Amino acid sequence: MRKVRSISPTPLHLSKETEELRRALRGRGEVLEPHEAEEPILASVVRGAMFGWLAELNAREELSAVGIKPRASALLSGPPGCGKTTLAHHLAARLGVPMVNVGAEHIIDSAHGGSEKNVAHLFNAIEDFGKPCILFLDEIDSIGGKRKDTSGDLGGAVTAGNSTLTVLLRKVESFNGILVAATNRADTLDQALWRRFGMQIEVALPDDDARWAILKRYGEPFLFDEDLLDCLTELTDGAAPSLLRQLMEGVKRLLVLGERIRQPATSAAAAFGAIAAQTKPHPDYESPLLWSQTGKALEEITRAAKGQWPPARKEAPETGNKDAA
Amino acid sequence: MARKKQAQPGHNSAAADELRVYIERIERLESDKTEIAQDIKDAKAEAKSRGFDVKAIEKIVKERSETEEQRRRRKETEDLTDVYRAALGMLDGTPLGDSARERLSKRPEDKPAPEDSGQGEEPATNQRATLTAEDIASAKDAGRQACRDGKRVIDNPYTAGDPRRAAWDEGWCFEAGSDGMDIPSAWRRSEKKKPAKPDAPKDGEPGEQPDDGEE
Repeated sequence: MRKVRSISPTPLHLSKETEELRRALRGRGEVLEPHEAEEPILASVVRGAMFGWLAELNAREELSAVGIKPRASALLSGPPGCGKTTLAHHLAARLGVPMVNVGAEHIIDSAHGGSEKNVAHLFNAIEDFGKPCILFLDEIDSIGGKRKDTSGDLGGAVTAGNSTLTVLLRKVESFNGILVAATNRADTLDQALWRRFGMQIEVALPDDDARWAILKRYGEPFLFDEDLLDCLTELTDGAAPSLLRQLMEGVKRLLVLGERIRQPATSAAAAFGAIAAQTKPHPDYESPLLWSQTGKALEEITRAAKGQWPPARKEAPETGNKDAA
Repeated sequence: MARKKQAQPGHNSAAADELRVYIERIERLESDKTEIAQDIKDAKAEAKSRGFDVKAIEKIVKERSETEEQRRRRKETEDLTDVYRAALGMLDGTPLGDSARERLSKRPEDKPAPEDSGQGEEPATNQRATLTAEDIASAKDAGRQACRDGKRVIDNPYTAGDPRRAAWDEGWCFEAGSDGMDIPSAWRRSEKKKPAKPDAPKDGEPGEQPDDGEE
C-alpha cells in the first residue's frame, strides 16, 4: 500500500458546523475556528474592556431579567498590526464560536449593485445559519467611510459606495449576532456607522511588558538573553507588534541563513542593524530609537548582549509527526 | 495432423445413454440453480421487509466469501480511499469518517468535554433547563483545575451557549487571578528584571536591586 505520509495532507481544521457556515457564506468571508486563536498581547485597558464585554455576553440571561441586553458590537481602532484581529478571534475562542473574518475583497464587487448584494447576503447568511458566531469586519473603513455628496457628477463609484454603506447601516442595525469591526482610520468612518457600535475600543501600541513578550515570543526558539530583550524593549518603544515580529523573524532568518546569504550574524549589533535597515515603521508614526538613532541603539545592543552571541536555541519539542515533514 | 477422436453416439447406443445422463444432470443442476437464486431473492426480500439494507447485506456476503489475499487487497484500497477523502476534506458523513476527521483536526491536548456524556452540540439548549447549581459549580472547579494543569483559557471543553462554558471560564480566570488575556508566563520577563518601582520596594530579598551596568 502506498504510504500515508507520502500524501500531502490538506489541513482538516474545519468542524462540520464551520464547514456549514463556510458553505452558507459562499465566499463572502473566511471562517476561523475558535481553537485556532492565538494569545493576544494587549494593554491592560483593552483587556479590561474585553473582559467586561465577555462577562456581559456570558450573563445574557441575568441581564435580560432586569430588562437589558448585552452589548453586541464593538469597533476596534488603532494603528495597523496591533492585534485587532487577534483580539476579536480571542473573543470568539472564549465564547467557543467560529469567527467570520470579512475583508473588503469579500464585499466589493465591480458589478453595479454587487457590493450591496454581498453585504446583504453576508448578514442574511449568518442570520440563517442560526448558530452563534462572531462577524468580524476587518478594515471597515473600506466600505464604511463617510458618505459623499453625490449632487455633482462624481461618477457611479461614489453612488455605489454610499449605497453599500446604506445597506451596511441597515444590516448592522438589525443584526442579532455579535459584530466586531476593525479600522486603523477611525476618523474616516461614517458617523452613523460609528454610532451603531456599542463600544469603541482603541487598541493602542504595546506597552513595555507587551513589547518584551512579543520580542520573546517571536524570538523563539532562540533564547535571547533577558538583558538584550530589556534593551530591545527600550529601543522599540512606539513600534507595532507587526514591526516587532518582522524584526525578530528577520534576525532569526539571519541566524539560520546568514552564512549562506553572505550576511553572517556575527554579533547582536550586526544582526539587529541589518534587519533594522530592511524594516521601517510607517513615516506617519514616530520612529522608535532603533530606527531613528540606529548607531546609538546598536551600541546599546552590543553592551546588553555582553558578547553572548549567537543566542542558544531551545530544543524542538517532540511532535510525533516527523514523517509528515 | 490427427484430430482427437470424439464420441459419435449412434441411435440407442450406449454412448447416447451416457450423454443423456450428463444432460439430465446438468438440467437438474440448472433447475437447482434457479431454485437457489429464487431462495436467495426471497431471503433478501425478507431482510428488506425487516428493514435491512439489501445492498449492504450483499456487500457483507461478498466480503465473507473473500480469500485472505482478496481481503488484504480490499483493505488496502479502502485505506487509500479514506486517505484521498481526507485529503479532499470529504470525511464528513459517516461515524468513522467523522471520528477520523475529528482525530486529524484536533490537537493532541484537546480532550472531550468532561461529563458531556456524548451530548454533542445539544447541551447548550437542551440541557440548560436541567443544569443544576452543582453542575455549574463543578464546571467552575474544572476550569480552576484546568488552569492549575496549565491549560489555556480557550481550551474550554463546553459548547458555546452552555452556561457551564462561562462557569469554566470564570473558574479558570479566578484561579489564574487574571482576565485570561495575561501575557503567558513563558513570555513574561522575570520579576527581578522588571524596572524597580520606587513605590513598591521589596525588603530583605537579595538580588532585588537592579544590577544593570555592572558588567
